[in-house]
Amino acid sequence: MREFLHMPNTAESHSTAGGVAAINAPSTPTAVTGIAPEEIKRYMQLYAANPLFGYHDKWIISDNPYRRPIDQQAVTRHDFSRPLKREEAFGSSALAAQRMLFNVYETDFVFLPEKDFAAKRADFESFYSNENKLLGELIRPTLETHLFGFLEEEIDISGKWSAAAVESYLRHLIENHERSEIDILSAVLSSLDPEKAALTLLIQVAGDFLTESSSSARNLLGKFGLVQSELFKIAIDDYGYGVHKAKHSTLFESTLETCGLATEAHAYWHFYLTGSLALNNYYHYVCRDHSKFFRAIGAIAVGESLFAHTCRKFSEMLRAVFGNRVDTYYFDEHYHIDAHHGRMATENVVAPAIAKYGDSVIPEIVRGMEELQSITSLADDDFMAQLIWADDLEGQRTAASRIHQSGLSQDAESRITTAVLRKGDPISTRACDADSLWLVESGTLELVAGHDRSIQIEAGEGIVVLRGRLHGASSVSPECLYHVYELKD
Amino acid sequence: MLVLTFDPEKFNFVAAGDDSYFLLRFPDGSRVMFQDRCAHRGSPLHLGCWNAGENALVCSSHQTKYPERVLRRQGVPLIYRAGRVTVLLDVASHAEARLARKNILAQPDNSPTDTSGAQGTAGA
Ligand code: FES
Ligand SMILES: [Fe+2]
Ligand SMILES: [Fe+2]
Repeated sequence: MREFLHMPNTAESHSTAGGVAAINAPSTPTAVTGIAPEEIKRYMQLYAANPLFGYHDKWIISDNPYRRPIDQQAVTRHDFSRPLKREEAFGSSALAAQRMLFNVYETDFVFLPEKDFAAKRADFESFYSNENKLLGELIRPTLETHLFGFLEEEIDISGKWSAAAVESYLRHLIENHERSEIDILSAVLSSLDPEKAALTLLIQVAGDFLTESSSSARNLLGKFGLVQSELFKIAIDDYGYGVHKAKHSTLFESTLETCGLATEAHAYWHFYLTGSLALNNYYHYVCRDHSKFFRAIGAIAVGESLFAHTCRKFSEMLRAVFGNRVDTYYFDEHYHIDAHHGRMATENVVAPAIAKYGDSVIPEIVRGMEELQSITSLADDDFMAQLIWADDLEGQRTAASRIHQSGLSQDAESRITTAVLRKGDPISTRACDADSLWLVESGTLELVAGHDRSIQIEAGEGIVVLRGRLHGASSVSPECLYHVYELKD
Repeated sequence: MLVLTFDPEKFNFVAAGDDSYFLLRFPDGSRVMFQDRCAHRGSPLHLGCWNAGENALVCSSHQTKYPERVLRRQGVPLIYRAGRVTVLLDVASHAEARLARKNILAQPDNSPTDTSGAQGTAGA
């Protein structure tokens, strides 16, 4: 028998030189060796118990970038020690974990309120305190594995990759993308209420655009030669060459303003969908851990390459919905500059990195490209599902009364909770793991499905809240009593 | 290069340009696409067999062995994500590719694959 690679007397003998050694990326450790999962869980509860992350009294969190509510009950209830499946990506555990992780990551950045710093100074100090930072760091790897572990299973890279193959693949992605209408934008335009749908989308991207490039800027410092300087050029564009008016986030503020939205960081915290948080967190996940540097440049190359066309279509959508009153300059500028950024990231970052560090880094780069696409499609699915549900709140009320009249599902076993809300009670948004039927017994409940998207449910009425859909509730009457039942099918 | 995306449950064989390629699925769910031509004298490798003890594909003609690690490293650049396979074939990007389902005798877990001979043209 012959062993391939050792074939005597043949001219076509092959060698593995240049073959790719590292096929699968190492998985993320869940925790520090010696710290048991129960201990990590205790740290999470301590972390989430920080008053900064407690419930708020308003749907819009005005000018306080440190107040970032987390559902503490969900933190107590769920097991974060295993990776979620993709189907669980919009559930209660995912939402709580994404919020915690986002907060953990963002303590690395400077946030300051616009006004009245003195009144917020205690929050500022608490947010950046060693206690908050250290607890965050201890729970971070567990949260990362919980939320992004499924990517290890979902994606596999094999074969003999070359720089040319990577380039061909990227070009293929760009060509396909540039032929597409972009589903989330079509969904906005075909929504029953395109204005509100567009605002919902602007809110989703605000979590990223208002701190634009902060996550990728994590890869600017250190010493790594030419690639470092090329990454710097992209960042310099995003930061407007130091001219505040030209900073991309400043341009985006103007878009928000002309659409009547607040421009402070995370004012719409309550309305970030789980998928949108996942997309933000993903960039931090690969950019903060420098052992994932090659994944990060793969993700950035795809992100930058596809963004130009997305921005062109986004701009068209905004003008179709809001007419002349909207300032689309942020998107128009990106349509131009990101054509360059995509090329810069591909030709000046990815290609030289492969040339210098060898073909064995390619699977990591390609993995980053795939992971970003996977998380982007997750975020898109979440947005479109939320849009459909929020457009149909009346329909969900009708569905509830039908189920109610049929007498189905309202037995004691399927009852999840009975609650009393008072006007002015602290509020929060959540996502549930099963479809549920809400029935109001007395008073009037306001069910909230997003910014400026809600429905009032009177005594005797109900509503269906679908699994994974972000929702909140408050009482319009002095007091409101309601029951929630799990819908089995 | 030609970029081709397909459902690996439907197709496991591609002919493009002057070459053919077959898909192998490993027990851990990972996949490899390999040129269907033995480096020795060119026999179709998908007609080889899998030697579990040596964890290698063995060509049916003169028993040249292709260990798993070699197949993984020397295979066609491949991405598996969310149930879809994307491969990059070293032929002109406008070349026509024909997808098929064949009985891959060299399949590691030796699970029978149907030979109904489904045919399709690439949706790149
Ligand atoms: S042709 Fe395969 S071993 Fe000779
Ligand atoms: Fe930018
Ligand atoms: Fe950019």
